Amino acid sequence: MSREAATPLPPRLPTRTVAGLNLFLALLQLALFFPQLAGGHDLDFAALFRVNSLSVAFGVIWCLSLAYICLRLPHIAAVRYSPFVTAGLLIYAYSAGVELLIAGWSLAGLGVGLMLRVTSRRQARQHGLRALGATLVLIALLLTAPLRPFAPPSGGVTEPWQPLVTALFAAAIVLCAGSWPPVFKPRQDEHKGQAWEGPLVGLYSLAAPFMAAKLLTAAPWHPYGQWLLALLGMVLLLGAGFAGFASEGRATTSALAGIAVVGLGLAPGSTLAAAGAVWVMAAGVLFVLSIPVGRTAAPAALAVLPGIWLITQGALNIGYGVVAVLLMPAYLFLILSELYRGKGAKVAYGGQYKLRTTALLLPALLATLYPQLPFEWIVRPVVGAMPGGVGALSAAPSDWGLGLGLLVGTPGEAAHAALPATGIAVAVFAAWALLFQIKQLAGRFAPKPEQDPHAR
Amino acid sequence: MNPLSGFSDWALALLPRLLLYPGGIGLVGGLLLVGLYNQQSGHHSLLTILAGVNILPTAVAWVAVALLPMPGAAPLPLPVDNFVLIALPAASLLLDNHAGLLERWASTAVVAALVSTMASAALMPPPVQSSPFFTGGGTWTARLLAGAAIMLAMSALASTLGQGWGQAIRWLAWGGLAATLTPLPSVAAGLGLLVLAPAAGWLVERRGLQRQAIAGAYLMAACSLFVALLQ
Repeated sequence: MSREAATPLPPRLPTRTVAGLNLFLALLQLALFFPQLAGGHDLDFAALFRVNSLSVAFGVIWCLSLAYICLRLPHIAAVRYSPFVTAGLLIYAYSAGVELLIAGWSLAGLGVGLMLRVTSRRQARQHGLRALGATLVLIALLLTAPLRPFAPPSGGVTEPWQPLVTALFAAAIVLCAGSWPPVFKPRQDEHKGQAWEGPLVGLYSLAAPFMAAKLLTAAPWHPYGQWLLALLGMVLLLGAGFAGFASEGRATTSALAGIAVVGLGLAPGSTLAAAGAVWVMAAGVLFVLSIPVGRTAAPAALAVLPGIWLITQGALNIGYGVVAVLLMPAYLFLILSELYRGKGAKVAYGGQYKLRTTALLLPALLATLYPQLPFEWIVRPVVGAMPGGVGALSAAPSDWGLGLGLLVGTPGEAAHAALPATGIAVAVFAAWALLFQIKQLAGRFAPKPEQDPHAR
Repeated sequence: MNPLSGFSDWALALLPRLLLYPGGIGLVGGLLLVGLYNQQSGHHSLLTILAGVNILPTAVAWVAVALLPMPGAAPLPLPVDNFVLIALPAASLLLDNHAGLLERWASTAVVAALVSTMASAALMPPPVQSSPFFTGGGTWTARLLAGAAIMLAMSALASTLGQGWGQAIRWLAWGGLAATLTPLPSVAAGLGLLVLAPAAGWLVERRGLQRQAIAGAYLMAACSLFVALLQ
């Protein structure tokens, strides 16, 4: 029996209140900032906070995710600490400088640690070590390297970030998002039916590459930095592959963060890679929320594929062939292992199971079957909010009727690639309808198992 | 082009591919394969297999076969690129709750082999239909190594053919992709795979060498990647 089922549930009011608060904050951000952003204006508040498409998109996504996670919280004590995470992630998303970014990230890490402490001190200690390590690395960065605010360069061209800055940020990301087998190997009694710890830690890990996206608003990477980020992203991805059997869901989250780091690393060379990274960070949240792996995990895993497609094409386009060819097999390997392990697993979600499944399935299906909508409404504006390090996203026109298309290269030698997801979905629907009829028809005439002479 | 007319053109161009060639042939071929396998092993009758089909993964695998760049197939208004062609059977596998660990490992090896030759390409564009090869993907040696990797993985996968219609169609989709990759003419390569892989699969299953075959497939895929990078 799972721990959640064994623990008597407290009144649901506090969890619903905190979930409602997160939902309200998500809607508030949209209502306050969407009109300005639609007009193409970034907002600055006292040189401390900066509002652009990047911060609003992830501020909203994280608040919605926290609302979903809070609905699963069984302990009032954990509910009490959840506002720390919300506040930390919002400060992190809207920070205009490195100091506030570090403060927000540390606050979020503290909140996650306090929430975990309620159920497992061991887990909280492991998380605390990671968060503390990342904070120390970032403080070292503050002391050693000259940093500038996350604002687009006024003259259009800017000096790239020093390799040291990139390296220290990359180290912080790897510390937060890495899947370390000796540390994360769970005890047998951990992660059984826990419906909120996995998503919470996963969300924290997947939010780590956002640091790199923030840096790209101001300046590109130095070529060494670009190489280093691509390398560390691959280390995260392949390391997750090796640690894949250690802990449920976390290795895949780590792999998703690694893929996002690869995309953001290659972003100054290819806007497609930047778009792919943004896609993976946004759609990856859907997979994170379906931990422990349940029915929604497979659609959520499919929703990430357009992002990997974009990064692969971007990496090939700038000559990072190894990265390009390793991304999809490594991702598939991890996801397939994860789904196989989660096969038949029953998770104690409490009530409202259908509502929660639908809340994950709908965005996953939208991202898989009609990717042009999230691409045009979320990914394109977010990539546009990183003008310091990423060029204009002109290589990926959407065909509103069919899907995404790419046109890369000079006009005479342009290469074309396409992901007609909507067109494929129509074909799948037609095939599904035909197979359904065949199955019904065969079911009428098929012998029952006990009558089948061929059955063993 | 108007999005609606583009969509309608796509749907009209896809129907013959889905129902006739290569999709229809793949569907019937899959049924024959699973029927033959079950006749040999005596697990289930054909009607039982049809009644127990796992609809969604089978539908996705069927579409994967329908979109294969087979010679003579009706061209699509917006050709699908290599990544998508490879991702579709993989998506079918992701959606299949009944797929076993062996199929998952072997399929990942096929994916690794298929993409390994493209390490030196500039993009993963749609395959050129007049040519059996993937565009811009690797040297003759890299393709040969990738072909060998796929052959090994498919021989390990052959033992899953009797498990269901979806598995059989997926197996054909991997075979079709491999046929467009190998340096042989695609028809010859396709026929060769269809005959050789089940025969090798029978041998592999009889000797219990599935794990070794999968490990060999990964090794060959890594060699193919290495050779493609040296280009």
